[in-house]
Amino acid sequence: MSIRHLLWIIVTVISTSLAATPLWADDVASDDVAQLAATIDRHIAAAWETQGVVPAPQADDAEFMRRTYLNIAGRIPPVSEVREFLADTDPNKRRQLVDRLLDHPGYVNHFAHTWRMLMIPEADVDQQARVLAPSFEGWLRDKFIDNVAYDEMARELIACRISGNEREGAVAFYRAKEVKPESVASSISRLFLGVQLDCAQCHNHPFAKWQQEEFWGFTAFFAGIDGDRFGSLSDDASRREIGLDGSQTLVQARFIDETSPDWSGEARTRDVLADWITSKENPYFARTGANRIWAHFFGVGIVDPPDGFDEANPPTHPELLNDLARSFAAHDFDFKFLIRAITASKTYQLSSHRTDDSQDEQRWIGRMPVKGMSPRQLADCLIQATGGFETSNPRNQFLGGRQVDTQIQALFENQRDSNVDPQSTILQALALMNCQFITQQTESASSNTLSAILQSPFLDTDGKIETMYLTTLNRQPREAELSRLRTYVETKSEEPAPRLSFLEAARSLIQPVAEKNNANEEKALADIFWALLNSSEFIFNH
Amino acid sequence: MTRRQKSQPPQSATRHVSRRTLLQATLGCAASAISSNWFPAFAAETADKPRRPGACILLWMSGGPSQIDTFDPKPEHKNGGGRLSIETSVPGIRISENLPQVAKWMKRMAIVRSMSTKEGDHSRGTYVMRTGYRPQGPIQYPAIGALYSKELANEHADLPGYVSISPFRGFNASAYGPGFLGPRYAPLVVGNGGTVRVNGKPSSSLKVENLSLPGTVDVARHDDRLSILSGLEDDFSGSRPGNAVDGHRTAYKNAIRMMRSESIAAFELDGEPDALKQKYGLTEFGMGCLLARRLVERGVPFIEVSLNNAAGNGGSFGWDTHQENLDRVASLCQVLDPAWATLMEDLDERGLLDSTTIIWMGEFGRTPRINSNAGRDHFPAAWSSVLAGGGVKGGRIVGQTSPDGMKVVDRPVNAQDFLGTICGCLGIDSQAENISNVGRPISVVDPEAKPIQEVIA
Repeated sequence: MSIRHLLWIIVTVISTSLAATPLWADDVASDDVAQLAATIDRHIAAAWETQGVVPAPQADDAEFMRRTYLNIAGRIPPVSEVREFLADTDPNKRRQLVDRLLDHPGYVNHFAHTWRMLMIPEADVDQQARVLAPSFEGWLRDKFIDNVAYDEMARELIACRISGNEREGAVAFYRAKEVKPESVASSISRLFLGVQLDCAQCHNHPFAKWQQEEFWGFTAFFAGIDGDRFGSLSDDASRREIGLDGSQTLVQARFIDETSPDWSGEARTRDVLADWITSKENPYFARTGANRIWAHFFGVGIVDPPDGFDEANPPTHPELLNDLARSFAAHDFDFKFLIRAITASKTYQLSSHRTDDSQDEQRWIGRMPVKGMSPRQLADCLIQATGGFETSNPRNQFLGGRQVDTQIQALFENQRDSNVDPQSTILQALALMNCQFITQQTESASSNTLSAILQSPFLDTDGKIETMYLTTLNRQPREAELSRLRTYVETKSEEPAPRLSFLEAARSLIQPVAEKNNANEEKALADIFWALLNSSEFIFNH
Repeated sequence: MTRRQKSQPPQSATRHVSRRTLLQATLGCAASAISSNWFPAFAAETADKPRRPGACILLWMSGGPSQIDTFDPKPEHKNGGGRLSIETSVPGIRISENLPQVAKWMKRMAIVRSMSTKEGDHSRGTYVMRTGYRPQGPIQYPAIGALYSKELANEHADLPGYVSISPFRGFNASAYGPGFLGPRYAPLVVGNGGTVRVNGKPSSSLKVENLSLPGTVDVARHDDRLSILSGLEDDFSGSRPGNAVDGHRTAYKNAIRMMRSESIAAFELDGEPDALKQKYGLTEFGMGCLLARRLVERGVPFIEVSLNNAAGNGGSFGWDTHQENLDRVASLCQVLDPAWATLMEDLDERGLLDSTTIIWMGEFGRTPRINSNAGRDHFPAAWSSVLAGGGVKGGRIVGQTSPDGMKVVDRPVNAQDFLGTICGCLGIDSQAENISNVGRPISVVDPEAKPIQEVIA
């Protein structure tokens, strides 16, 4: 079967409606967010029906808020906002929260970082590529600040001007790929077409239908670029052929649907490619983009992995993918629109609490999957929960804030793509139990949050435990938890003071009993804080 | 137990019991979960630990070592670069002059000179040689360290079954992971292979980070904390069961077991005689080999030690000698040769060489032809790897390359064949199957593999 055949399958079988209705339909309803949300729910419910899935109940406000904060702003909410949100009686407050978060600087940082990880994954494992990541992430941040549309962002990347010693912005992407046409091509095809052409680089693809010639035909669009990671760059914008796998056999640039580009006019090679990729008629582009945003919120794509569009790997909900893609294109590829619609759906607002066996197959989304956090997300959450240094403050980078970030990042760097199957390792557990940062943040003398809670004159023991829950897990403790932990603190408070150094012992002779109990109580509360920071409920996004 | 007692003053033993009783009374099921679920009775388990079947030490040559300048010298041909070959302990077998000490162990070694693979890219080559499979879409193949240690591991061991010393994961991080076997089989990584270290005091860099409790927390308090954590985990895993929560619990259980085990003394190289350390070489790789021996002694079934750099070699790209190949390989061999030979000798003296299989390989070989920068480029078509020690019929050569080294003329061996051979030496069933992340059962080594039977003892 040829590529043309595959394309035909995608266009006709998967998306029968595509041929009839153009993607850019103008008839968008007034409350289009609610409408797309309802469409999502309809398709998901239809699959539940055929798969025999009994869905979980709706998430409560606390669960919704924590998850949404993590997904959009990349970290957990501050206590004050949790209290405010839980007390808010506005029936529209969930959508209002999303609107607020989309204007939050956290959205820009989190999405820029997320897309940087997608676009230059090399930077997480390769120290040379890592050098290039900050400037590229800065470029992405500018895109998200201006809410630049997905097609425009893709176009700027694909058609980016390459010359001289330019190292900033989109050029950093090419440098991270060592300015190798084949590396850039395989990355672009994964990112914007959702297909892994690179397996066909050296040989015909074992499972999918990509042939070696197709890979090199696509790579030929990048044939003109030349240079290396840190040297001078050049670009022959009219070059459109490349040697197959370094051989003398020249392959002409052509699209992966085997159509030949229109070279009329004074077309620059990569401009022509950018036009084709970002066209609203391109059956891959909108779907790949919509699928990625979907995967960001659910941990699994409708096609999963999101760069595995392949006839051997069909979408779980083909009509849903089409509708998402169509709406995305109709709203001029506005990320925020898609995010508003997804988060407004009942599907997104399902609890992650398992109430039925049928919810175990994550792809049918009978409940919200439990997801891992990116290393940066975890570092930011630890900082948010403990009041540790803000990494965003450059002054603090010298004081240790930055170090926390990199420490945690290093420990979790081999986290896999699929974040519904997060890998916990012994080294991560050791770090979260014993590392210097956690130790400092769970001792009243050196922790901002903990000392504030312990010293608050307004809080009794219950109030202190409750505040620690709100700080870390962003919810109220349940009655059973509260009573268990209250008993723990009371028991500890009544214990004789722990073994003392000579000096402490001397001091204790002149210290009133109440103060001794107070020291024990503080330690007991610190123990609870430590346990909360080490818990699955804190470490995962659920 | 020694460790536990050491960290507390003598009178605390009794108080510990009373605190524990108190906790059990107050925390109910949470506290009992500690003893049943979180940490089993350590002392008892360590005592009746059965003898492990065998162990494997992988000496991983990151970047792709030059076969001509190591195990397939071509002194007669211009591709040999003018370097000489030397006699080994086996008459008729000659290797490069770069490896004089290793040459003395030829009787225990089998050199495969006919490695022939298809991947000439670092990332893909690393993946194929370290997992046995080509990267294929969504399937997350495990590293052989994870696969073999799963087959060889003692369930009750205090240390993880797969220890990776100084890995350089830059070429392909997923080739160092447990893949679809899950986090339980992830390597315990020590040392940071990504950085160049100066010779001198490398042993401190091979410690496991964050292994000891902070000064302000004694074991009794750590127990208290874990009892609270255990309660939180029971609640959360009850409502959100799945891989994430299971993986978290397993990682903590194993981390705590290791923190409290006597086996962690393996990482204390300070007590080893200075003369022995000098013999291994005071390099990160030399100390890594010494650590590997100590881990084998304590029953760890799979240890890999990466050689990523040598002093004055610049950067961390190890054997990727596109420039100045001859000099750079010589300096890498000055690190490799004493460390490897001493490892063989040390294991042998302790009666462990017969049960420990040592593998030497990288992701591919290098071009016989010397390029314009006096370097050698990537070359998967005809290269060398080595099997040594336990389970290996030593003193032999497998396969042959042409006089110019450009092609294999006898007995080509691909990645799968070679990894299947290691399984044979270790006594592992290479066709044992694991369920992959896409639901399909996948064997330890591809069923098509043709192990080199003549080197399996």
